[in-house]
Amino acid sequence: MEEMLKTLLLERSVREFYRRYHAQLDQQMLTQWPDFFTEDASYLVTNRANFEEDMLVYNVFCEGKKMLIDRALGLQKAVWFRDRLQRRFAGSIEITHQSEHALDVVSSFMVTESRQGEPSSLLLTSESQDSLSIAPDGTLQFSKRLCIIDAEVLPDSIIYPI
Amino acid sequence: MSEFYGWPDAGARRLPQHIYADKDNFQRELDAIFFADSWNYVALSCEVPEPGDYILSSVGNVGVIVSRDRKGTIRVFVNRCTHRGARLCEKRKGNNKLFTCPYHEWRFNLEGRLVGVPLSQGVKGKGGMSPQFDPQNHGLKQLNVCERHGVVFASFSNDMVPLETYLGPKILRYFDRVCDGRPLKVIGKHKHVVAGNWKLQIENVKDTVHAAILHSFFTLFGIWRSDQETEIVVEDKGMHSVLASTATFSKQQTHSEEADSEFSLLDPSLIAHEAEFSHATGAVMTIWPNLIFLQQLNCLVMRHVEPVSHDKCVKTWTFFAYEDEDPALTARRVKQANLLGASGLVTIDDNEILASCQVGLQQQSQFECAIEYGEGSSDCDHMVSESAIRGFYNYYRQVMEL
Repeated sequence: MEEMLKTLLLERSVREFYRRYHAQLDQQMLTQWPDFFTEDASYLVTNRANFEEDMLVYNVFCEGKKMLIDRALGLQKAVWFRDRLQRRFAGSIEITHQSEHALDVVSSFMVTESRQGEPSSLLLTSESQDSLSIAPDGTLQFSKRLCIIDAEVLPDSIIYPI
Repeated sequence: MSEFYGWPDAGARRLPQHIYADKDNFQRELDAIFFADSWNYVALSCEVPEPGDYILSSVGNVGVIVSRDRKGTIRVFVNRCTHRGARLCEKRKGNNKLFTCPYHEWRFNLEGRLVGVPLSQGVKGKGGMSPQFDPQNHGLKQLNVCERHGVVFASFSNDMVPLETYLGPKILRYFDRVCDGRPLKVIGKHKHVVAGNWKLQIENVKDTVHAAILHSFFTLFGIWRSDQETEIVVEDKGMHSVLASTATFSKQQTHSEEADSEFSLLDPSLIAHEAEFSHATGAVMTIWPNLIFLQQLNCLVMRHVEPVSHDKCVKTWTFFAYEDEDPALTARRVKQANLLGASGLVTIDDNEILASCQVGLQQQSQFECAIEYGEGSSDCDHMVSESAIRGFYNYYRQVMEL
């Protein structure tokens, strides 16, 4: 009984972690985005075709929180793009492996985008293969987030993090 | 509409909007440019190393199969069964002994010949192919192919000058600067839609002026500044060009200290450059009609701009490296790729502004772009000129008879 309760609580905190992650990105809170990651975390975005062929080049390749902060600041200060609203929809979130201080989580999600008030369109559907670290107080952070986008041809730029 | 507007008197200094907005003009471009006398980039030969290997690509808006036959020769076929027009290959790459159409299982060998037609003799003596049917006349549509130092081009024309002549000595020098015959390997691909006419994308990389204005990221880190040593090289007819420039890696001097402290990289490895090539840290080459051959710091990329419609193109970025290079150098290329592609800290600017231009250019009001930076349409030793764009349109008008 106690085990089951622990599992339920863990699952709940993982779902809550992803909900907060998506919600903050929907609100375009770029400055806070790196805080979801550990100091030596990696954040990788690729597509299924590159992933299956073990290609080295990613759409986004960040190793370490510093690169994430650089990207977040770069997007805010050095990149020009048209205003847009995004919404992230999480599908399944499954804990595939767990130990005392770490979790592996596979999730699926989609992102829609509305540019300058135009009707929303589908930007991407993706799987993520993530590793989360569990701090002593139970706080979760990504130690790795790997997003594998389904489409080989992206309909547009992927500007904000996913 | 094209006839109605014609071309402005100012020549290549004015670009009429219909060349971006008119569907008929787009169709004419396919016929006069992509299906005529042009060498079209299709692939790197290392993408099809073995007999039977194939990869899908395009010439104009026509899907093609780039494959290697039994003798090791690279062939380029239209990806279309000669029976009912179905796509022969659906998977983006693979290895085949035969190309088999899923519809009626017509089979084509690696040389493109039709070698198998099911039920050609009919069933129980009835039906089958008509006696007039000669399989020899129904092979795959095959394109003219040429290869230089591992880069494959194809043409619908069988009356092409050699690639070396097509490029001319000035461009060939830059081509060979990166592709010098060393074996290449592909290290990744990006593919994404740009909501703009294909020429906007080609012009964008012939436009040295915008690079130091729009791309704040370049300017902030001294990768591409308007005052750095630059060479614009335009092929004599205007078809191809190279913008070669040498980064100073120093921040824009006009920036105040306050502005500098506003944004500096916590992890400078993102742009840590290892010098590989003589003169210039970046050389952006455009090869008529739709290849952007890019060397920016340590990123080596074939950027293939597929014209999809008058208002849309698809960019395929093939990132490559040398087969036997130091893994540390490859790691630099991988990190610097963060600047490029659909999520590139530099390229997002372009993807976005080209879409914005397309919206403006489709508003029908007899608008003309003003291409007035600099003079003429030939070589230049500074960055503030649109001469490569004017060169492109001198040639464009000639082949389009505009």
